Amino acid sequence: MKGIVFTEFLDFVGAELGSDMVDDIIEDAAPASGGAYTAVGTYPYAEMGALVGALARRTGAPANQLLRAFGRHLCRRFTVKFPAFFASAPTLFDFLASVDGHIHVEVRKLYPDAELPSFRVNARGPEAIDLDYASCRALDALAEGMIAAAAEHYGFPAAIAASRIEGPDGPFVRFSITRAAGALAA
Amino acid sequence: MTQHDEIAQRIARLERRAEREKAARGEAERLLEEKSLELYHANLMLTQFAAELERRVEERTGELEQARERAMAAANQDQLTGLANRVRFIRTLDESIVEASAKGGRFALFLMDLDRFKEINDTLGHEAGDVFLQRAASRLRRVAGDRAMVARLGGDEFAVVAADRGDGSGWTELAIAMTDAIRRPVRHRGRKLEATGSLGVAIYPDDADNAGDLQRFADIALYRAKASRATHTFYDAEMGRELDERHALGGELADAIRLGHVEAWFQPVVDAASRRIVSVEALARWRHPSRGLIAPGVFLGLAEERGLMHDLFARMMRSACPQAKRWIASGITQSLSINVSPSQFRLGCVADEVIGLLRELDFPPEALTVEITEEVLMYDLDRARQQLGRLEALGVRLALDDFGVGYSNIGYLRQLPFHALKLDRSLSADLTSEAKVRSILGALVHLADALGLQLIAEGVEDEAQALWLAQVGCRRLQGYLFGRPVTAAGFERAIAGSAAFRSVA
Repeated sequence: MKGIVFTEFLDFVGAELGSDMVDDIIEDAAPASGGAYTAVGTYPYAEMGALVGALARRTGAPANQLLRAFGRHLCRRFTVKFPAFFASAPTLFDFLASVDGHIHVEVRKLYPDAELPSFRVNARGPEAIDLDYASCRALDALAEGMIAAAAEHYGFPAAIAASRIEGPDGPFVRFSITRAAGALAA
Repeated sequence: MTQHDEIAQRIARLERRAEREKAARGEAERLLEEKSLELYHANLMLTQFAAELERRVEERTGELEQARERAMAAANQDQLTGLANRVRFIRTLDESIVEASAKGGRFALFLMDLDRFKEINDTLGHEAGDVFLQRAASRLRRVAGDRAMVARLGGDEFAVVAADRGDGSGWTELAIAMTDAIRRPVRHRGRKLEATGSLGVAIYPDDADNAGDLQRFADIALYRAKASRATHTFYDAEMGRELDERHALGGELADAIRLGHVEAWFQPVVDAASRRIVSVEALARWRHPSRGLIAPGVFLGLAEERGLMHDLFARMMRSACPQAKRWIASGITQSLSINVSPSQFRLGCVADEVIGLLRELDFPPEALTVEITEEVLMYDLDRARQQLGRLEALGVRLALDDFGVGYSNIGYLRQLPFHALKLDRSLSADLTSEAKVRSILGALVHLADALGLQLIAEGVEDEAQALWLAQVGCRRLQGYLFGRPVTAAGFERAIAGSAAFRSVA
């Protein structure tokens, strides 16, 4: 897993829960890298799993909840670090549709060995979109948080429903994103 | 925990954080170096690729350049011989004129033609012909050197544009060297290929100041060289005039035939022992209203050139047959001989012509002898055989003319239905002076006997010849000794005036 996920995670933890918590979860997880992460590096995914697990134990919050929150943080960070991706997509749905075909393509140019999930648009209408998330890591909670933050960024009041589906190529999660009931068009 | 412990703990945390930061930075630097090295290698590869690409482009450009040059050369080059082709020749001629006129210099245009080249192709095949042309071309090129450009204009025609060698003699030498080069036999597949060349030369600016006239005059000179069997001829204005005259005459020939200015004159053929007339040969003469009598040597060639042989033959038959018929009826002669040109065999059907005219003129076929030269055997034996067969079937008799100096072989003679052989006049002319000729004549008499053919000697001019021929067994004689060719009226006068010309009863 690319280092940027680790550095952002630790920054997230530091910002929300203080840098002492960062030290603690690193000590708890005892990763081989010693917790010295650089954004351009590559580290075993197991270390992320260990860090998230350590944080869950220390906070008492479920791991998925933490991941969802981190997802929001991560996406907000992306709007700052990579504004072009958001600027080139006029609407939330355009943006979500561009993840696989555009954003991840660009990511691989910089990080050819990045293991990225796939976000396939299954159906799309003016008010709803189905996005199928498939990954070798079960980080759909992270993805959900990112989608929520993206919706906020585009000012789209989104209701996100996730359903696990067993597909011909394996299991995936279908995110059905619709305009939240009661909300007026922006 | 004591404050001291807290501070110690804090310091420991901070130290650990600092350690992590340092490690992370070190990792980042290491990755950066790695990336830089990757970049360096990528650059290196790109540079190499670029160099390779450039090299290939250069190579390809070179190849294309070469191909273009080859195509250009081919467009200017004769494929078979590698000499310049007609296109390049024309260009060189124009350039030479420009250069010579600018510098006040001279140059010579040679036009060369191979004689009897067709024979090589016909008898030995086109491959042999091609080989001969190639060798001839390289010899000409060697002879011409770098002061002259040799071109092949097509077929067996060559042209040379030769710069001034200081004086006129250089060109004569070159002309001789060129014809000599052509004369040397070419060996190919164990055979000897031989031809000769005729050459015509015209000089810039002496003879002409433009390309068209220069070529025309060189052509005239070439024509003259061929006709006079000279190896080379330089153009002179007289030639041009003569050619113009010939052209004019040629233009009048068709009318002359039609209007009856061309007519049959007659010369007797006699029995060697009794000296009595056995037949008359009809010979063509042209009585031109203003130029007088024009010799057959001149107008027969013109008739061939202009495709008038058929008309000429018809006119001759119409002129001679009525006369001969009267003479046969009154016992003056037994038969009429008339000449047919080999070209008539090639271009039409002689049998049809003769049969048609005999019918029209109501002339008995058995009283007609058709005389043909050996040339007819060279070009289309089957056609000739077929037509001669038809004539023989009708009763017309056939004589092979100018025998003894050309191509005939016994095989042909056996295959074709000839009745008589007419010996070429050169044999009669030389028999008194050369023993060899007498031997040959003796042998020919035997040959004729063996083949069952009658032998007629032409060109008998004196008694000694006549006696010798009679002695050796030649039974028919023709020549000035017995009478020159004369008009019908002249013939009758001669008959009336001389007992010797009475026919064999």
